[in-house]
Amino acid sequence: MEPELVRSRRTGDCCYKYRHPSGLSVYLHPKERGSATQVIFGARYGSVDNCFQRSDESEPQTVPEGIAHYLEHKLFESEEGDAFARFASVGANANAYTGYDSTCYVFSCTDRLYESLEILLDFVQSPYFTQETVAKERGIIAQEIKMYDDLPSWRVFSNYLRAMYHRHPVREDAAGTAESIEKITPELLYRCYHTFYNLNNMALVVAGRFDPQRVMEVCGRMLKPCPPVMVRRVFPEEPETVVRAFVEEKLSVSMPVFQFGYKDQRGPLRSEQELAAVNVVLEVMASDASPLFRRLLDAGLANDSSFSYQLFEGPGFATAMFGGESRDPEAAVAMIREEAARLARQGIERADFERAKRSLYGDCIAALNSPASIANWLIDSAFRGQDMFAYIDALAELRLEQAVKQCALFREDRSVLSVINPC
Amino acid sequence: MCETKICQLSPSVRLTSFTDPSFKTMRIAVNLLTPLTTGAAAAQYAILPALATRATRRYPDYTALGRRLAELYGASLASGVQQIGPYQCLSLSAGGIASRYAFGGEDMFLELSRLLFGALLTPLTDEEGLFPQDGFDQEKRQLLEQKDAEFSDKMLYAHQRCHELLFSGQPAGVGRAGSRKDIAALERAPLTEAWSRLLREARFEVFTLGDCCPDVEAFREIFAGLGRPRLLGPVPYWEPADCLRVVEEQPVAQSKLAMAYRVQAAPEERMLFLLTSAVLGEPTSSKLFLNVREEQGLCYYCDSAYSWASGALFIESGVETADLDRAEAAILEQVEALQKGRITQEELRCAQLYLCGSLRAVEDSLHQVEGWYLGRAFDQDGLTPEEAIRQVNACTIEDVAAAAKRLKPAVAYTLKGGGEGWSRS
Repeated sequence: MEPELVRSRRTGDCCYKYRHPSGLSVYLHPKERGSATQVIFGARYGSVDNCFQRSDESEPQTVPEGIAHYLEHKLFESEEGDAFARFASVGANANAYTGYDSTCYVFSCTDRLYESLEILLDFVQSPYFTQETVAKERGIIAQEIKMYDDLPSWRVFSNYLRAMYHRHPVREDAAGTAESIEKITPELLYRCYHTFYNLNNMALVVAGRFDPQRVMEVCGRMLKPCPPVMVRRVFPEEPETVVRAFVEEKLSVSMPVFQFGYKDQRGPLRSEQELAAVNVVLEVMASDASPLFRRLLDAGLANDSSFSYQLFEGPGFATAMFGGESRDPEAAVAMIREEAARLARQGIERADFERAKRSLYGDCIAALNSPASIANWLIDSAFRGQDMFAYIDALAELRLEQAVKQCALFREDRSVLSVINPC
Repeated sequence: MCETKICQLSPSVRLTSFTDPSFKTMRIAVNLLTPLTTGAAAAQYAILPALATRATRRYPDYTALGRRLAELYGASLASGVQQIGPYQCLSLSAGGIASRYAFGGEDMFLELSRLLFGALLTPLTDEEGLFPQDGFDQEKRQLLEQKDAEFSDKMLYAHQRCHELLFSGQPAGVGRAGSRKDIAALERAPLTEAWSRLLREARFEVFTLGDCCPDVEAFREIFAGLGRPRLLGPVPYWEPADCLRVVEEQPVAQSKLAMAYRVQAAPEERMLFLLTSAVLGEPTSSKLFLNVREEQGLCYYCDSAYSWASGALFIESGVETADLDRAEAAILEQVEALQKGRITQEELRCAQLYLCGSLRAVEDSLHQVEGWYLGRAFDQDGLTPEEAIRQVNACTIEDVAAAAKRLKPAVAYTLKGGGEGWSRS
């Protein structure tokens, strides 16, 4: 099994890529110094995958919302005991998260890496669900959902997606609802597990201080080959329009919180070059160095500690968003709309473009300091079918006209404003 | 190859340089430590770092400075305010990529030093020698909004209320920036003198971190005449008479429990109490995680944390309103088990591994290195993470149980869901 060695000519970092005979994609990013190693074992399976059809079946099946997240919780339990306890016994810190398009199991450690890796590969490949254990988890997940219900930053985002998407499952909360999780059974969990937790649909990432050869030895011993299952993810047809342009909810907050953005009708995910181009546009438009942010500050409509902007993109959904606290969200959004229209009309100044590229390049360099950020970047890139070093190159080589082209996503008729107001 | 050097530049200024070229970034930080006294004084000091770093004499406009920082590969010129026990820690810092990645050939350490020391020593003022009006208005508004944001985050709010109740009427209860009322009362004119006073009166902890190496003599010159020597320490101990119970209601989906215990611990017992907290409620092997969350399914999170600077251990959880009493009883049962020594060798070993892992990883992050050595300004000067690991591993079940017995219940704060009204304090 020969690895593909990928080296970044700009940073000097290198990464080994393997396609393990089991079907698993493995990405290894060794660092010469440091104590910690971060490991992520993930499946390309998230909360949006709640309607699917396997190649060996004739009909698609719809499963309850929140099942990917429920599965993530339950996988830690096996007949041999709790995976958390096994990790704790070797000093590793384990966790997991379910996103809209992936589920990842993570541990970090400073010692006994290869034992921890064995535990990770073992428990994720050993599902064990019973009526009793599934029922027991319901209370814990219900409390997790309630915790998010009180988080204004989460509520405003959740409402935003619901106002933007008519039918795409990204409009549903990743953890589901108290009602939807009631419908989850051991049988459904096994079914989703055996559909999506196929090594051909998964990736393993290791970043930090380790011996790549020893990692591959553990993989060789622990991975259970499985025939690839072809899965068709079924997404309902999503109109180009938004559901509603404005949505409001009242919560126990001291000042309003808003999320505003534009729906982008997408087919495939953006390439590294397109991703770099959108990020440059957003940096030009809304960073600390931008005239827009200055106007927002001068008018008392935004603050440094909460204002943010990003592209949020996954299978069948994409939106460029801006948000934060503001005493007057509608006035803040009027300024954002005005600047978006100006950029779409007039394009981007070369000096602003070059500055934004430099700033984003600096972010990339800084991200390569830490095993945790490297591992997150690697797994995100893997599931997008992309390469993080290629992104850095694309950013460096980006041309002004490529960035300007992305300004087309600021479509006024496809915008949504979500606001949380004090009750 | 990394090297840590600690150098006393003057009786009041200490420089810690952590040089490690394997980092791709660098950071220069100046921390000014001053005792908390009143809310008004805390608010006055709290606004100063943000005022000093929002624009400089060379880049007198917020946007112009932002552009310069973007040109410097997304460098930062940042400010911070935190409370460390009875002290306010005001920080100014500059961070950026290592010079070897600056394709424009910039000496990043020089560029960042200029920006940082310009902001510290010759902050931007107007023709009357005052911090400019527009900057003052901005930063005052933003400080007020930060204060308000604490109300919106209910986990943070519950912790803050518990902390306020624990230290009510004491300097440590003032908070990192005083109250909302203290911030609202801020005026621009006295701030120039407050800045000078801060530079005269604070103890300085200066750091250079990452792929950079300072000229110590140049730093000695820069900081000459600044600061005042101060012995730092935790909040003084007093025995809580009774456990103060406070229940407040808000219209929230999930109730929060925040409990505080006080403890009188010697500096050399810091690792013991961190370990005690780890056995009780930090890693997934802890008593609270295994029993309150996993066994009884009462919550999603139930954690403990020992604050050496506050001399307090906090336990926090988010629970269903109907389960508040059960959750509190379940938590108290675990505290009692700890105090009675019902601790297995496995629980102790897992907590030791968890804590030692964190200590070994200190030098993986520039912020953690800074946090570690800033802590050393308060106690166990010279203690390295390796020595701390030895202390942790020397602790026994009996030591942990004895430490737990010294925890005195002081506050039990409940933020009860379902309430109708609320008011901003």
